[in-house]
Order: sequence, then C-alpha cells, then structure tokens
Amino acid sequence: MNQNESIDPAVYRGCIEEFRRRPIGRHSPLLHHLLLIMRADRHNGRYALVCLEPFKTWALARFPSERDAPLEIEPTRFGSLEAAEWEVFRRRWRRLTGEDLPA
Amino acid sequence: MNRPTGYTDRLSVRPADTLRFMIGLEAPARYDVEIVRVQCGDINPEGPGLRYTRLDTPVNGTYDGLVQHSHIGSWASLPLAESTLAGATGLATAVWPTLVSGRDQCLLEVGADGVWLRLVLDGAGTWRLHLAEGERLLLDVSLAAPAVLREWRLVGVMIDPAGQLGLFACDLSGAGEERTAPAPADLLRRVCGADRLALAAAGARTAGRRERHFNGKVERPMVLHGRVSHRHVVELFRQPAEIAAASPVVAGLWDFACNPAGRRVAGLGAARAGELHNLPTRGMTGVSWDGRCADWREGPAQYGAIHFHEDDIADIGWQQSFALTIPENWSSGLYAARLTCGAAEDFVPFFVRPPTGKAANRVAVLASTFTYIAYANERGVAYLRGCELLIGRLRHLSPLEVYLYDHPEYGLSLYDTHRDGSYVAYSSRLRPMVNQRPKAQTWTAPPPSMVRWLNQDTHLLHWLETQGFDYDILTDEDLHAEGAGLIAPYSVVITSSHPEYFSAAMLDAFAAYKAAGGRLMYLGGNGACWRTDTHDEWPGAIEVRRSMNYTARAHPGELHHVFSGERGGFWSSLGRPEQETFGVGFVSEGFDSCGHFVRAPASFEPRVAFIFDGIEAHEPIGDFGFSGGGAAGVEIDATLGQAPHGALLLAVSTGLSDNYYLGADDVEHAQLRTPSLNPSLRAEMLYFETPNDGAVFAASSIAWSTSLNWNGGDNNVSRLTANVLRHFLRGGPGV
Repeated sequence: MNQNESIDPAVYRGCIEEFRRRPIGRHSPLLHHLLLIMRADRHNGRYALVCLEPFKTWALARFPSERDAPLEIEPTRFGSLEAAEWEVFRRRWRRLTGEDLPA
Repeated sequence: MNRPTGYTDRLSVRPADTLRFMIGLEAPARYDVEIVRVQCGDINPEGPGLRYTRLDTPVNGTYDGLVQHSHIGSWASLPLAESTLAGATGLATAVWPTLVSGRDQCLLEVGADGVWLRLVLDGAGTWRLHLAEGERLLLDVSLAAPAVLREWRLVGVMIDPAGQLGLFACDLSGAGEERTAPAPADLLRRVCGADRLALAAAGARTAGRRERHFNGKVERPMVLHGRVSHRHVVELFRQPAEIAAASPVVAGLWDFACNPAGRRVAGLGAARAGELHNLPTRGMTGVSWDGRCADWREGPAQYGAIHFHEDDIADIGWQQSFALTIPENWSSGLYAARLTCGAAEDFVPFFVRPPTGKAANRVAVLASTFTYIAYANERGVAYLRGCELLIGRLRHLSPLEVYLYDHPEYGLSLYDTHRDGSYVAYSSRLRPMVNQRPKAQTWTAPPPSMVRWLNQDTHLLHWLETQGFDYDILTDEDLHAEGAGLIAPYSVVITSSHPEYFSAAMLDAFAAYKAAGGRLMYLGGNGACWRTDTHDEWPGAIEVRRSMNYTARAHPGELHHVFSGERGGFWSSLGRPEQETFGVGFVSEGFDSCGHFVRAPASFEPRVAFIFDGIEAHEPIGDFGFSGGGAAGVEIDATLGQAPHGALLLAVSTGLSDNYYLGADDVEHAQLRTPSLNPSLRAEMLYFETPNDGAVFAASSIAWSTSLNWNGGDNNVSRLTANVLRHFLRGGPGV
C-alpha cells in the first residue's frame, strides 16, 4: 500500500459501515487506521465544518493555504455533524480508492 | 451582523472597585448594554441553557459604538541625546529577519519635521532605504541581494548631511553589499534633527498609531559617528556592549541584554533608555549565542536580541466606553456586560470577589484566569497542522471562531505561532478574549456542547447554585498576587475544569492551604501543568515558555522566562509535579468523545464510604454528559506512580477512544500511545488526606463538570460531587 497516494479498498471496505453508523468516537483498530490516513494533512483536503446556526446547521469549508485568507464555504447545508463527516469520508474514500460510496 | 465585543481593564474586582469597559464594533452603530450575573453560558438546548440575571446598574443603556483601533504589533521607541544625529552619521543593527510578508516591514525609522528615513524589508524580501516627505517617497535605494531569513546579518544606513545616503548589509565576516545615492541635503538635515529612532515599525498617518511592523530578531542598534567600514561594524558587534559603546566611532547604542523583563531597554552613550511597546519577546538568543549557555541570567551577553512580531499584543489600546462601580451588595460570582447590536450579542465577563479580607462563604471557586488568558483567541483550528488528527473529527468552527478568524487583530494565544512561525511566549487579557465568555464554543471541546475554559466553568457555577451551595469566586491572578492568605479562610476550595497554568506562588499557596487543613476539590484535568509568570510592568500579561508541546515550542536556548528568570516548562519537568498539588498529573488527552468511570477496589474502604453514598458498586459513573457523552475525558490525569502517601484510587476511566494519545513521558510502555494498547492512559479519580484534617478529592478529568447538570442535576456525578462537598464542609478551616 502506498499511503501517499492510495489505499487498497479491499482492506478497509469492511469498516465503511462502522463509520457511517458512528463517525465520531471509539472505533475498531482497522477503522481507526483508515481515519488516521484520511485525516493526515496530506490527504485531508483542508476541510473544516463551519457552524452556521449552533446545534442546527453546518456547512463544509476549505481552509485556504494562505494564512488569514477568506474561508471557502460550500453551498450544501448539513443538519448534523455526523452527516457532514459522512460526506467528507465519501470524498476521501473516492480520492484514495477511486470508488464512489452512496450518499 | 455587526458584532459588538470588548474587554475590561481587570478580570477580578471587589465591591466598590471601578471597572473600565472598552467596547468596539465592526461598524459605527448604537448598541445596548446591560450588566448581568451569569449562571450558565452553555447554549446547548439539551442542557441548562444560557442563564443570566439582569441587574439594574447606572451603565445599562444605549451607547454610540465605535470601530476601535487595535494596536497590534510590537516596536521600540529609542530616544537620543540632543543633536546626536548632527554630522556624518550611521545607524546599524544586527538583524535576524523571519518573514517576507508581501508587505513592507520597517526595521528602523528616523525622522523629524515631516521627513522620514526608513530602512525597510520590502514585500519581496529586499532591503530598501526610503526617504519620504509625508507620504511622498523621494528616494528608494535597494540592495541587489535578497535578505536571508533566520540568519544574522548587520544592516545599516549611512547619512551624509552634505547630500548622500547609503544602505548596507553584510554577514558576520563583513562580506556584503552597499549602495549609495545622492539625496537633498536640506531634507537630510531635517532627518538629522530627530531626537529618537523607531525600531520595528513605522509611524502611521494617524498620530499615536504604528504600521509596517517588522518580524524578526534585532540586536544592539547603534548610532555611529562618521563613516565606518563593514568590518569595523562587525568588530563593534563582536565586542561587549560597554566596550563597543566606548569606541570613538560609536555615539551610542542600545543594549537589549540588560534587564530583559521590563518595558525599558538600556541606552549607552548618546542612546537614552528606550521603551518597548506591545511586548516583543525578550531574553532571545543573539548574534553571539553558541549553545554553551541556556539561561539569559548566566550569559546575558548571549541574549542580546529582541524578537518583534507584527502580531504581538500587550494592550490593544481601545478607548474606554463606560465604567462601572461595583455595588457593595453584589455577591461574589461571574458577571458580564451583555452587549447587543441588532441580533448580534456578546458578553464581556468579569469576576466579582468578596470584599477585601472577607470570606462571604465557606466555599471558594478558583476561576482559572491564567488558563483563560493562555487560551485567549486560540486559533489552532485554522493554523495548527494535524489538528484533525488531534481531535479525531472534522475541524469545527463555531460562529464565534469564524468571527475570530475574520479578526486577526485580536491577537494570538499561547497555543498559536506568530505569523512568522515563531512561538508565542506571552498572552494578555487587555484585548477582547472572544473565546472566553458565555456562549463560546470551541473546536477542541467534544460535541455536543463544545464548551471549554470559562464557558465550561459556568456548568460548575450553575450546579453550585441549583444544588444550594453558596460560594465565593477568586481568580488565579488574585491567588498569584496574594498567596495562601487569600484561600486560608475557606473550608473548601474548588478548582475549575482546567487549572492548567500555575505560578510558583500559586503552588506555594495550595501547599500551605493543604498543610493547614484545607480541603481541595480538583474538579478538572491537566492542572498545575505549566510554569506561568507575570510582571508588574506588563499588567494583564502572562509568560509561558514550553519545553515540549504539539505547538508553540520555545527555542531550547530560550526556556528561561524573562518575567521571573525561572526556567519555563512543565512543572513536572521542573521538579514540582502536578501530583504534589492534586495527587494526579496529566497523562492523556482526546477531543472526540469521552468515557466514564468505574469504581476501583479502594473505593469500598470505609473511610471513603461518604463519597459513594447512594452509588451502587457496579454503577457506571458519568456515562453521560454534555462533553463527548461522558464524565471522563478531554484531558485526564493519573497518579503515574507518584500518588501521595495513603491515597486511595477511587475510580478509573473506561471507554476512551484511540484518539486519546499519550501526553506524559513517564508512563510505562510509552511506545504504546493509545488507550486500547496502554492501560496507563486512563483517568484516575483519587482521594487523600492531608495534615490537620485536610483532604483532596481529584476528579482527574476536564469533562467531569459538564456532566454535573445532566438530567437536571439528578445523576451520579452530581451525587458524588455533592457527597464530597458536604463532607468537606463538615470540617476543615473556616468552620
């Protein structure tokens, strides 16, 4: 496995559903390992979650590479932290494996 | 939204004190003020909710709001004896630039009568000499070679009032470059009428303001007589300051190695004592530092540098908006000025302590104001590398953190790095600390409430008030200044959720309190961790130099605080581990979710039966809460083999995710860095007795207090805490 560019989806496919059910908190060793790869700076896409209305509405944003430059906020709105985590997981899975996951 | 915000001149006041408020908006507008007593600041709809009581005060009302000017960026004003610059003159300094910023940075400015000479590092990293009359640039001389970052160079200006200017830069061998250009003699004569130099900033169009701040270290600015060769300048820098100052070619120099704690810098010869603004970093390794010395007190000559930053703040310098005299009949507690402008709202908090020398209650809560200052305007969510790995979930910006991101002029925390990448050694409360107030949510606090620091500590205040426990509030600053006598009258002292920043005086105060029979409830995690110092000449500021951390680590040669002379770092690395105060010390942290406690065998000993009254043997303790769903987590402590004699391990945490990582270096099998691999990564709830009928209870978890109010306060974290508090109130001092 080349951690810089891609992962073998066969190794990790079994923990996708575990993440979808519980994106934040304790995870199996395999899912934890996958998330470490995804969340490392070289892979994470500089994503952040911007809270637009506390406890109700969030949007994804990308941090610019230049310090203090404006945040780039995406138009899609999320009703929970977990929904946004799943969306970012799907994007990272696609980037690392080339495979699409259902929304 | 036009958000009002502000700060007070103090965080801790007594009845009859007058407190000044500095309020600013993002655009001029009317805003409303009401003073409130705060009971809970957590806006989570599942919890107690935002709770405060409006108070009638003379300052309540509507005000015309200003856009305040934020004074950010450090610099030095360096006065000269009269007529020093008359005649052929040179200005030279050693410099270690740290940033090419895309904007001009002014290293040195001298001028008078509307004419300015500025030595500038331009936006592309080229040294330039600018002669300007007002805003009109008359002459621009530049060097061909770009400036080299993070290497020492000597740079200077030669002024021949007969009509020539020169700019030079050379390395420490004297090799370098010089450019000269003719300049109007009448303008140069006006420049040479100056009675001072400005170092590390240029004057702004508006009087009293500064701009074009310089980023980097500077050492020993000198005023030279006549024309001096580069090699001669290098020789002067290699000599001790007193020897160099006696050279016939030196009119005067400023020696930054002297007395690095305060606002003043020493001048020799025609150089008069200068004044520093906005707290640049002192005690910094200079040109001659060679690694043989790691303490500025032992080898001051090696610590002749000052590091200036465009984002230093000691006092943001806003104008006063109103002042409140604290009524005599107010009870001790957390108060705030609630500011509203349309739908925008902010709370400017302050603590009212009891009148001088009077303990109004038997319980004292110690508000961790040093911790609040240390984390003030913390921006790791934007700047910290690896922060998604740190928290085990997506980076999260609350509305307040988006606002903070849009306002870099409010400055940095002790967890950030300066714009030039260097570590932050100081933080001041004389600015809006916009993440230290009711309603604040922050990225390193686990969902759902996402509260930490001051706002989390309102959970404790709400619990005390709803459970019927009266309390006084004191602050770190009070304890640091007044020592053990401040807490001696209290039967019980309760800490905040994160009393992390401790001075030696505070450790001494707790030791004396415990020895005298005081009873201490440590309702937090990672307490008494970092050495913290203050200085009378920089009110409101603290100094912390870290020997280790995931960010903002000090240069290994610069670990000695200038405020005290003492070495900075973890107290555990300085011989006073946290266990000395609380029985436990920092072991791990995680920011995604929390676990809970299970009872340990010692919890069944009769002498601690009072703690578990009403709690079953196998009952999970705190498997609920507003931080990460549990009472055990965020930052947690353990005894790590250093438990006090006779201490009882009451309960241990379970259920922590592997996003908790090892934070201590004295753990067995330290190669195993997560809870599932290493059982040492756990919170250890502890109880021990101290002389004269004293005792300590340690919850050992930041998340503890965010479980107190679960289910309206009817839960076993609340029950256990109340059991301890009621028992402690039955004895101890103050009875």
